Amino acid sequence: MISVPVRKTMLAFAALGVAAVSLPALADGPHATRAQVPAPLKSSRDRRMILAPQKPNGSGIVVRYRLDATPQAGKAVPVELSLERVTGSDATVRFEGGSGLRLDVGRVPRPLEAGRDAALTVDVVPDRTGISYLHVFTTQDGITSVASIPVQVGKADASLPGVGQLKPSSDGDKILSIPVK
Amino acid sequence: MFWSVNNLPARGSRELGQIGTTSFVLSSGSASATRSIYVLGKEDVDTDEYDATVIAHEWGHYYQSAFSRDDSPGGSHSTSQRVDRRLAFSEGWGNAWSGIALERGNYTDAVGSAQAQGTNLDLTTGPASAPGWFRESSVHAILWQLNKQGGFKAIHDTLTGAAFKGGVPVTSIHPFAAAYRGVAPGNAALLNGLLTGQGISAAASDPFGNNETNDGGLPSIALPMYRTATIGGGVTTACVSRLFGDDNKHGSYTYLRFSASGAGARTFTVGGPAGSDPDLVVYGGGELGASDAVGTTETASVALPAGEFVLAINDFANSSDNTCFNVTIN
Repeated sequence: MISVPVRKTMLAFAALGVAAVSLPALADGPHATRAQVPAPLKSSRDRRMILAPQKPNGSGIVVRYRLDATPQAGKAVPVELSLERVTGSDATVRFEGGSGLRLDVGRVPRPLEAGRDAALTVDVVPDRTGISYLHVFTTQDGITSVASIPVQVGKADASLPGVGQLKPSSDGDKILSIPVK
Repeated sequence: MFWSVNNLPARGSRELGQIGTTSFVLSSGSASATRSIYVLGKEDVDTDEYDATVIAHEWGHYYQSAFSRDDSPGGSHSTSQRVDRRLAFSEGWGNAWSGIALERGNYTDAVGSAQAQGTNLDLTTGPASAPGWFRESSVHAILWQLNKQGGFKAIHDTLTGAAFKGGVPVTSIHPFAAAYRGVAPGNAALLNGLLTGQGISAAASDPFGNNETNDGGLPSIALPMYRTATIGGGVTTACVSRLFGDDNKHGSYTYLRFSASGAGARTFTVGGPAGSDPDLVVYGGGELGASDAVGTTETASVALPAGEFVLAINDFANSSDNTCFNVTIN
């Protein structure tokens, strides 16, 4: 897969020996890159849903989600889910909670009806401050994919892992090791 | 290459491991492009460090970006979907390359508890139904078989040759096929058979796909593959659709070709209906410019040399199954 390229909301010109440009949008100043903003759904009900990552060559089921409440430790928060592009007769969804997250659903796969979008709500209970994940496994046509939905309690940790040192290997390659956070 | 045991399939901060999925990332800077590959590593969720075909697939994107040309818009996709022609070629190439490089006929990707579930994709054949230039699995089947039966040198020479890299059409199976025939005329019959088997036009010397008849379910939108526009020639109508999905799917983009007899600044105006949000990209042997302001009308001025160019237009709002734009170039 290729990540969606970061693009300015105004003219952005590659070099390629071609001189460019007038920049009529510059008067508005630079904008945030739209490509980074998850596309909203069309209906008002789903307008704020976030498109989850989709694995290339994966199940093909599109997962969108929304958290309507601010997660708090020890309190249930509903995760609204929309599952789209369900075409296979064997399609299922299954949920798992990562470290620090309890679910109100079991790990048994739930069948999805081919040809219909599914709207589901999963209550999750974070047990501590910090970030935890609801893992959504979708299977279709014998292929399984997973998307992880972050559930953040408290302020997000903005600190970065410490940067390691660039070290030469025995065959001359240079390797930058970044400590796991 | 960025891998961590914390890398998992979530949107958010890469520094926290929320990398979306294993992917190739091209970042354009003022001095030079930076190419990176991010790899998932979350045990019992999705790890890719031992999925050799996944790593090879991403390296295939690196190869196409660094040594060939890749106009793919990127983004989410699946072999079950009908996708934009540039995406279909790029992902199909990535799949095929994984099989070519590792000398195998399947693509595997483990996920879940104990990495016991996932994907096992046959690279030797295309989709069971509705093949075409808009299916990545059609492209991977063609390229995989082309390598098996015709060797890799002709593929490499095609991808790195001027006809494909510097051609006017955007990167897709049609300009690849036209360039391949020039590089390896002795393999033309082989290529034609593979193209026909995937429902793709095998017409000779047709990099624009003018003879393509497979509309992929969008008869009034997908064909012709490039509509003709004229500088100063009035309005050209071109339509897009979200019938097969949003953003980068079959019908998400419409393509116009035009010629400039001399160098000069050209003004592009794309007007759409209420609720739409047209964006545009200008190509001429690669991307020359892009504009993606917000609103129902997109206007951009681009200085171009004399020559032939392609204008790609999409609806960022994915507003309907049939969204038509009025396009002028002056």
